[in-house]
Amino acid sequence: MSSNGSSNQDTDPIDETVRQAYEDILNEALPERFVVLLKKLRQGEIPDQDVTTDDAS
Amino acid sequence: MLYEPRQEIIEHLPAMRAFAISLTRDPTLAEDILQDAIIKAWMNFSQFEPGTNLRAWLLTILRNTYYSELRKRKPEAEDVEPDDPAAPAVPPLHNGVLQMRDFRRAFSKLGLENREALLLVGGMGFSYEETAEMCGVPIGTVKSRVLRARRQLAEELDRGKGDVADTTDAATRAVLANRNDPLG
Repeated sequence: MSSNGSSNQDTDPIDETVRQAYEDILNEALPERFVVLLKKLRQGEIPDQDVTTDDAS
Repeated sequence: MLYEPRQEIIEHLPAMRAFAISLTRDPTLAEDILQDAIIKAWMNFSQFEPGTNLRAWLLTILRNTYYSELRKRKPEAEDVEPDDPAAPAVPPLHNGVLQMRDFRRAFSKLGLENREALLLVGGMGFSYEETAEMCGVPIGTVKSRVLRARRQLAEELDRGKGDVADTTDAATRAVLANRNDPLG
């Protein structure tokens, strides 16, 4: 089943292990730096770093 | 509080982080890439088309950020097999843990393009079409990459079964040797 609900593709038993490994990381707590980053972004502060818009298209 | 559509980015951060770690195989680099991607997404959220797949859009930004970083670092940073930073220094006690460690090691040996294709399709549940769009390649290419990744993983894991005895650490080997020694 795809992320948008379609299921017209093959699967393999090894995918289940890939999914399990992915979910193991998914369940880890988000590092503190991202909590701080989101707080700054919400407040309109953009951290000073080399940010281009090229990758957001 | 006013509705802020960019807040929706937050719920996708764990998936973005997991994707970043799988791409880079380096937790520190993954966090740097993730931070850059979050800022880009936040600053350019007006480019996101409502009603389309936000997670796919975010992962595309993350992926592009990583590939840009790789291009900057070339030629010193090629996609070579790293030491597995998650692998414990001593053999795990539980067989399930051992199997997952072996799996992660085998997964990290996959080439970057095959690894990301299998993660997106097999791990995260994206369709071939969605994955092709995110990676900027034809659907057939994604299918080939997923197939190659599955085959290589299966071969690596199968090969690893024969190496179980080699994973025993020096201390354990010493204990076993003493047990066989009638004077020990």
